This record gives sequence, C-alpha cells and structure tokens, in this order.
Amino acid sequence: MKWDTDKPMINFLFFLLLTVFVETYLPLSAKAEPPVPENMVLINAGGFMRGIDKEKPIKGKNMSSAQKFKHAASQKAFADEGPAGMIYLSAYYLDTYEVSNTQYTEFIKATDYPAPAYWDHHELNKPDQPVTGVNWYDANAYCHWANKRLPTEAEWEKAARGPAGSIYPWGNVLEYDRANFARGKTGQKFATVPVDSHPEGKSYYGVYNMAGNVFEWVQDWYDPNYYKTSKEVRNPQGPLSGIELGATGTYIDRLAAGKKKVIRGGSWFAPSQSITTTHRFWNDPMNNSYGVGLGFRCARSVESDAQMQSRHFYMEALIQMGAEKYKEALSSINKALEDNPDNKEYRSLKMMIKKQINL
Amino acid sequence: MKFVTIILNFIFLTCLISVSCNLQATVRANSLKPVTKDPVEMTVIPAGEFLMGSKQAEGRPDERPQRKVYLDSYAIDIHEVTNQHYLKFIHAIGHKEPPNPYGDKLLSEESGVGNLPVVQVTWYDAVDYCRWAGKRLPTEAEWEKAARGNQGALYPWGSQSPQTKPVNYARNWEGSKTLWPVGTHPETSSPYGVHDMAGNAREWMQDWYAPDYYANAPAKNPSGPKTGILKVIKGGSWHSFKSDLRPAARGKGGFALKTDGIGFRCAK
Repeated sequence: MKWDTDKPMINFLFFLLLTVFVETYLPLSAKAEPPVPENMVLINAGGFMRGIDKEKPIKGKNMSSAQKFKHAASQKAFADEGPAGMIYLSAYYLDTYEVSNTQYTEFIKATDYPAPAYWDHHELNKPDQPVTGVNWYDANAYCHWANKRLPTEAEWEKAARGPAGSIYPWGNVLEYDRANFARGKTGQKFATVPVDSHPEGKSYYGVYNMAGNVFEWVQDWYDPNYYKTSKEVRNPQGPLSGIELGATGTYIDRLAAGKKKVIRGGSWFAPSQSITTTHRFWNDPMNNSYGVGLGFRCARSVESDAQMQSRHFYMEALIQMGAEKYKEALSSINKALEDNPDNKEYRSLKMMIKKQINL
Repeated sequence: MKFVTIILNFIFLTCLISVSCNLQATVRANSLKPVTKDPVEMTVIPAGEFLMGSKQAEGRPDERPQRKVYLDSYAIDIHEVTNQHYLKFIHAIGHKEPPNPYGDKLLSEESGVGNLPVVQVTWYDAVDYCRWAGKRLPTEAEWEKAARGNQGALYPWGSQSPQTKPVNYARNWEGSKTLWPVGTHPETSSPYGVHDMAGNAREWMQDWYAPDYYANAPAKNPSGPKTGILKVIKGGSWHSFKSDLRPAARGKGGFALKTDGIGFRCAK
C-alpha cells in the first residue's frame, strides 16, 4: 500500500481519530462496565437487609425528661429501625468520602451559592474536613451541580452495612479507634477529621466514615413507621411526605414542628448509639446549624443496559456522520431513540443528520 | 508642596465631615434614651424609603425583587460589639464567658483582642446583650438600609469590588490576627457612617429567615416572618467570598449556631 504523500497530516489525523473512537466505542460495544466515577464506589444490584429487629429501645427508658431533651434518645426515636426486611436495590455509585470543604468551595465559586453556616468556624473549615452547616436543600443543590443526587436512605444503609448486614461499617463490635464519634464531652478539643480518615473503619464496599465524623443528609423524608407500613421492596424512595414532628431533641427543632428529612451515620459529637448502620435520625430540611456536624455525600444511578445500548447507537451515529454515511447514521440514531425517545442530545443529532440528507 | 496641601485638605475635609456627622448622630441618639451600660456610639438613620433587595440580574433568588421599603427613624451601633464590651456585660450579670477561639486561656485573659468584634455568640447571647444595654437587635431591613444607604448600593462603600478596598474577607484563620479591630478602615463605612458592614464578622439579625420574604414583606417597617427555624445573618465575615459581603445577601443560621465569624451590633 502506498501512502498518499499529499495528505500525510490528514492520514495522521484520521488514525488519531480512529484510535480515539476505538478507545471510547469498543468497550461499549463489548458491553464492558463503564468506569466507576472518580472517588465513588460501585454497589452492584442486589438485595440487602434493611433495618433491625430490637426487643427494647437502646436507651431512653430510664432517662429523665431533661436527659431525653439533651440526648434526643427517646424510646420512639429508636423504635423506628424495625422490622428488618430484605430490600432490592438497582446498581448505584456512592461517594467514597463525605463532601469536603474543598469540593463545596468549588461549588460556591461556580454557582455563587451562599456559604454554609459553619463556614467561618476555624476548627471545622479546613479544606479536607467535611463541609458542615448545610441544610438539605444545600446538599441537594450540590449533588445536582456535581451531576449526582442524594442517596436514598436504603442506598445509604446498604453501602454502610455490606452484604453481611453488620451493625457498624467495619463489623459487629464497637471499636472507638475506627471512627470519629463520642468526642464531644471529653473536655479536649475535638472536631471533624479529614474525609479520608479512618480507612480501618470503612465499610465492606469501601465507603469511608459511614459511622461518625458528620451526620449525613439522605434523600428521604422521615417517618418512624416507614419500615412497618411501606410495601416497597424494590428501590424504596422513602415516604411521599414526612410526618409532622416537633423535636429532634435539639432545642432548635423543639420550636419548629414540621416535616423532617432523614439524617444518618452519627457525628464526631454524637454518642455511640447513633453511629450504628441502622440508626435513623431526622432534622428539619431547612436547618443548617444542627450540632456541629451535619454534612452529606452524593450518589449516582448506574445506567441501565437499555440506556447503555442507546448510547452505543448514538456514538455509532456520530461516527457514521463523521464518515459522511448519513443513511447509516440515521438508522443508528433511530435505534438510539427507540429506548430513549425524549433524549435531547439524540433528537438534535437526528435533526442534523436529516438536514445533511436533505442538502 | 502642592501634593501635601491636597492631602491636608483631604484630611481636613474628612475630619470635618465625620465630626459633623458624629455630632449630629450623638445629639439625636442622646435625644432618644440615655444609654448608660453600653458606650458604643450610635448613629441615627432618618425615616424614609430605601432600596431593599436585588435587581433581576443581581444577587440570588431570595434577595429579589428589589423594592422601595419605608422605615421609621432608628439608631444603630456604628461598630460591631467588641470583646471588651461584651465581657463587661458577661461579668456584670455573672454569666460564663464565650469560648475563646484564640487560645486556651479565658477570653478575658487573652491580650490584644479587646477591640475585636465578639464572636462565638449565639442569637440568644446577642439578644441578651442588647437587652441589657437597653437596645435590641436590628431588623434585617434596618441593617440593610444602614449598610447600603437609601439608593441600593451594591456594597457599603458603593459599587467597587471589595478586592479594591481594605476589606476583611476570603481569608483563612490566623488566630487573633484574623478579625480586625472594629472601625479599622473608615473608608469602607456605609453612607450613614456605619463601620464594618461587609466582612470582618457576620451579624445576627432580629428576623426569622424565609426564602420568599423579600417577595412578600410589607413595604413599611418589615420585621421578618412570624416564625421560622433560622435567623438571618448578614454582612459576611473574614472567610466569606465576595458575594456574601453584599448588604442584600442573606445568610442564615439556627439560633444555637456559633462560629468564629458571627457577632452582632445593636439598634434602638
């Protein structure tokens, strides 16, 4: 074969493009798993045990009302974790770490979003520490900006418990060195720790600080009877609406009855009872000042096979467009639109192809 | 020679203006009710309309729309309440001192911080101090008017970016050098001569926070929603980015919140 000496550059570009296409296109056509997004873990589709059956509430029975007020450990607060039951979840990604101040700074700078409540607290605002002082709306806005979403309560729990359904992310025995919790009353100065601290306390799926450090917002509304009343066993999204609650035990919420969102995982300040993987707590979605440790992490759905198939045809159409094979491209984009008729990207490509054909 | 004359003239004029303003303010403030416990100088903001909130292309959704709001006359502290003044109150009523962010000593034993704005105070602490001093917290509208004047200035000093001014913002913690003594840079004060309304310490407001309040508030003496779970915090602090420094920007926090950047001033 003889090279066309007039167009060596074009040939070179052609091969470069081909390489790029092959790199991006072949793995898809071979139906390989898409790469896991940076700093996220993949949690494959499957069942897990949600909730725990308890004969008695952990604490609260022998507490005076003043103590309950302080510790937020009423009997009712702990009766919400049962009954235990199998729940199926589709595959999803979850952030390996809690969202850090560094990441939240990028979000603020990009969107002109207001700073969170603890922004100027020097023991909590270092770059690697988890962002604190965000309310549910802030957390939700961040995740959408990052092209993610808040995890559902079930997704959060599965990621923390692992397939063995453990009580703590690392197992069933409470160990004080594996997480940052119950540090509020020692008199020494403690606070949140960097989001990649305590690798020895990560969950089976490799998710860090699911116990302690900061409580984490999840997507769901809070209803203490949800596990008892819900019939949803596949990808539960939580109750349609929260029940009206007057208190979380903090005096902020005592004064403000309203619907609450679930928070999970305990914090550096919170007692050991609150760091179990099944523990459910709640907070007003507007409250950005809970304790000194309430942050979040984000999740992302894994595309279904049908969506991946559509994407594959879309990319095929792009390549055929590039090769000026418009009829083939039209047939490919039509296949892509079969499963995804409303996809704007696909539809606009189809318009472009049609224009080319009609030229 | 000429240059020196200009400088001298400038200094003279500045002094003249500030003295006359201060005199006026003192006279009017004194004509309200004698304040004996709290020596912080106040200035009177005359009754009238001002532009509150932000125009369509400006600021954030919860600051819109920009409207004319009428306020009766009121007085407001020209400085944020300092550690020195706050501790005087704490010792007078025998309360525990607020946490000392600068070290392990008691705040009252820390040297060189007397003129820094007090921080690490909750909304309740701020309310208690003002009440003790015979005053109250400003409403959000009062604070905003005092900070931007009546013509809707973007910042207390006008429309120039804070990057061009000596403003304490977007900085990291440097112990007792983080916050600046109150009134360090008079050139950044508001049209009413109120100091440190952008940066340094954020400030507690009397009002509850509601995201739709600017759209629904009464046009005369608005005093905040009837209830809520967060109080408004305004002005931005040493760690804020510039958008949070705008007098129209609306921070918020629960009333148990305390940080190294939230203080307050009183009104009357």
